[in-house]
Amino acid sequence: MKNFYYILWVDAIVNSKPYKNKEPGWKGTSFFLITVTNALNFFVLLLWLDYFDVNARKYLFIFESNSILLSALGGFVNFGLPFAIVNYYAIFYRNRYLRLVGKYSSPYKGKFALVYILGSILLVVITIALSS
Amino acid sequence: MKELGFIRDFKGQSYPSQFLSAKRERKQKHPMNNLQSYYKPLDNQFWKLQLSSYDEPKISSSNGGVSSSLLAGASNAGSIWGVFDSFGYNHTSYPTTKGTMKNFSDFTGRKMSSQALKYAGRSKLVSRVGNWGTGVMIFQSAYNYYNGDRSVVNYIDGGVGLMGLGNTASIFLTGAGCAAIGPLVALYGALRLMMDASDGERMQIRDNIMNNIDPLYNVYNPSLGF
Repeated sequence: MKNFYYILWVDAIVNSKPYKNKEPGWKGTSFFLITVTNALNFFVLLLWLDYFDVNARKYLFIFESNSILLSALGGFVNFGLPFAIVNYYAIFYRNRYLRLVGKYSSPYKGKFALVYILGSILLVVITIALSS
Repeated sequence: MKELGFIRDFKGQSYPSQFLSAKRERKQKHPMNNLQSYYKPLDNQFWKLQLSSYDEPKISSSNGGVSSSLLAGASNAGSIWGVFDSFGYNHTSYPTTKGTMKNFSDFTGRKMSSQALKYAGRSKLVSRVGNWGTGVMIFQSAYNYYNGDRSVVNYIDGGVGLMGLGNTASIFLTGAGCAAIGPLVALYGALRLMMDASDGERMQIRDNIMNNIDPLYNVYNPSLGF
């Protein structure tokens, strides 16, 4: 499982166009893409728990407002922030990605990361279609 | 009959006290001179009596007042940044000190110049903020959905956010993707956030009407003129 996690990251980093072309911004974009996708996975898990009458809301931060910025903050704190912290310390803290790129190869040519992201999006769509 | 007293003003001129108090009252009643008392009809006994048979007015700091204009400002600034990132900013090349344009990719395999590093840093910052703008759309949609919001607007928000995410991933990893989707998502985000910001006033006015109080209570929107 840990290997899959690192292989996913290495696949996303090494096969990204900005990384190959030595252009700036690949760190931020790869961090954004994988973290948001992780958050979507967690969101799907919560929806399925909800479907089976497991109420996880009591463990989440619920903001009593419907304004867009507070909703976004609530979404980020509940779904995104835990993964953002884990991903940062596991991959980018003290340039750990340099060691990971040397240790793990990426034979998938970026398809593994792309399939993971697009598959997660599809999973969200299917879950929402079933739950609504 | 009430006895008239005389009051001396700061210039030394004397007026009958009744005249001065009437003048002061007129001044206080004028909306431009005392907005606070004008927009707080709840202090009036008449409104208190009226409210006794109705629900308490829903007064939330997020929907009305100064916070709504702050929300409007913040969200519009974020949206404009997203449009700027998609349409305006050049992420592939930069102006050299000699005035010519040079691609960042020309530095492949060697160290960047200080000028290139400066513009590369700016590009990184701009793209990072633009990406987080797309993330905000997804996060707020997911959060609202999980908390029971099944409105059409929320579905569209989520759909647009996911489309933007998929397109960004495709361009980032394969180089193939629709170039029009990024700017369209940014434009949608701008319109959506502006709509949401103005919605705060509309919701507050609706709540005020439903609670039978002054529709303008706790509403502040300079663009609408009140």
